[in-house]
Amino acid sequence: MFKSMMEWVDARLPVSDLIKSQATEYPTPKNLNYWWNFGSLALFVLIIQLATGLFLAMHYKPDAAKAFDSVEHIMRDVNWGWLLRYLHANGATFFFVMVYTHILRGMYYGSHRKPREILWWFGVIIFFVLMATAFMGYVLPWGQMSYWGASVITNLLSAVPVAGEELVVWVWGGFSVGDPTLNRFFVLHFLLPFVVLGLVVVHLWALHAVHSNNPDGIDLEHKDTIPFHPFFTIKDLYGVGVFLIVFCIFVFYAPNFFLEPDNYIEANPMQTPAHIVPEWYFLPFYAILRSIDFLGPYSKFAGVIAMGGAIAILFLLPFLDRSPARSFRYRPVSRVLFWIFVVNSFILGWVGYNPADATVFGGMPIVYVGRAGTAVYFGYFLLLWFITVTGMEKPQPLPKSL
Amino acid sequence: MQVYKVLIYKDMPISRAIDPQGDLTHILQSENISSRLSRFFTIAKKWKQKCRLGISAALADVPQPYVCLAGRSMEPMVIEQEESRRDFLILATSAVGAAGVAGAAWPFIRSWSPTADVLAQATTEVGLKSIEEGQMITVPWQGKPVFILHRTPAQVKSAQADDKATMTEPMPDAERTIKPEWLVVVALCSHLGCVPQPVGTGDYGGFLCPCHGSHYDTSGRIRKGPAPRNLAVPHYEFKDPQTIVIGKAVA
Repeated sequence: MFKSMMEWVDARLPVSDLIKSQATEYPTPKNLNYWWNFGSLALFVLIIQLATGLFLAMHYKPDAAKAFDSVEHIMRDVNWGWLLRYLHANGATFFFVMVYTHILRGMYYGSHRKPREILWWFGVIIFFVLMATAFMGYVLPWGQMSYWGASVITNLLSAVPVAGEELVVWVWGGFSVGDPTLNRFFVLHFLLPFVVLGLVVVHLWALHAVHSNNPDGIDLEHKDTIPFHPFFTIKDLYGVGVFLIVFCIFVFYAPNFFLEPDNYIEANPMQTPAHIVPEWYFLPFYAILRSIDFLGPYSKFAGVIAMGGAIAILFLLPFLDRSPARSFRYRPVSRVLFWIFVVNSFILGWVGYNPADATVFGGMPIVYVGRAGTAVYFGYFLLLWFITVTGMEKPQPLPKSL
Repeated sequence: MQVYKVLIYKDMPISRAIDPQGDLTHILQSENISSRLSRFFTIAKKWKQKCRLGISAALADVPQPYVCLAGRSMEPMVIEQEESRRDFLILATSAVGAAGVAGAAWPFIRSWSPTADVLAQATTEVGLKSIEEGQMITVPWQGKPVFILHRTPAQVKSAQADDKATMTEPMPDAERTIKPEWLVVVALCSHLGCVPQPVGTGDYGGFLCPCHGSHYDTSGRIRKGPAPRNLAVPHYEFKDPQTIVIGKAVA
């Protein structure tokens, strides 16, 4: 019965073919390690965000006078509203955990290298859109951090030469962050996840066109691959299980761990909180923004350029790395640089979390650490290019096949 | 043999339309021939020549728009007149299309700009009578906080004394006030828009922005930190000695 029904469908729309060639029998490298779980995990979190977000939107009111109360209404009155909101708020955090791990995985194993440049670029675009979506989502509860975070970030636009001030007023729909801003951010926050979904389809299309990279970073023969199903369906499901355990610990036992207490105070345009911090996933970039403070009147624009450049430089990564080996597994120097880069990102995050005028190590302004961290951040990309273009790094011999 | 150049596109049903052994007349009798070939015929007729078309299986590999040549030569050629005419049409159509899209986008873009009711709330009136010397109040204007500081003689003196000091954006104190004892500034840091803390918190006796550590003096001028400009002085007027109106009415 089912078979004949599928035959009828396949004659009109070749569904079985698609599932077979792109999913069940899709050839996947047999040596993928657990770092390859994070792409599917990111997709899983995206689905959680879409589902919870959709139902939250049915109770939320994007109006500066009502937004804060409607979030409390969701928390107190809506059946299971607290769960939807905590899933959504913590989902954002875990989305970035997945995406950052996924990006670092790609950087370590050379997944951006030829012929996967377009695949990588779409990943970077998704990352950009995701940051915009997360930022606008954080504005919606209309708490103090929402409001002042939105003020600080939208004010970055005023650094644009010539038309900066007009641009900010245009984005705000007024002379400060206000009701029109909240309303349009809500609409965009609703729209962008679907844009992300479309970009994910292209990302997967590009992936299936060139196939997965692997921990050895070598081109594989057919005998080195195994069908996606059941081997990777089960492995991805296992990853989902582990993730759900961690996720639920936060959702049920520490739902506010990643949230700022100040955001439970309603937005007040007349008073800045003593210390504005963005969400943790923006902290390293926030630190880079603040570390450029030594250029007088150009500091602001330079800081914005540095912050944007810190992400945009990922677009260039496929061309910066010139080594004959993709995977850092066979590249001792790159490997060391990579781990310095990772540790440095955490240091930058810590700098971003601290107040701008904080001092560390007995009186040293923390901004010095931020400047050093910024130099190391960009230095990673520069050095990676330098040691590979000059051939300073001799990769270890690569295996011919698995 | 005379060589003629024809544009033929791959999606034409050529194999059925053209008998490789036939001549031009034969081609035109075929029902499947496209207007492209009619044009070719017009040109050919003008030259009163017959053309044997050397169409072969190799056509499938010839890049398009390709050319069918008389005789055995298969070298692709293009009628230049045809090409430039096509280019012009494509360009003109695209330009009109782009202008149309840009025009249609304008209302959408403009819908983000401040609305009429937002523009209407452009002024705020403030009574100064109750503000004692040394006291500062914060009033909302266009959704932004404005500091109104009743400066003490010491604060005025220190602001005026610093007129000659090295500053990011030098400006004499006299240009920033209407009456020296009243300082009216928009309380948004020119760095990223945080509200600075009240007078007396900064290194120069003025305002400290807690977000990124910018120090403003008692005239609201930037003296230290990442902010690029002084605190803005809004447009304001003394309606009477005890009342100011901040902002300009917008039509």
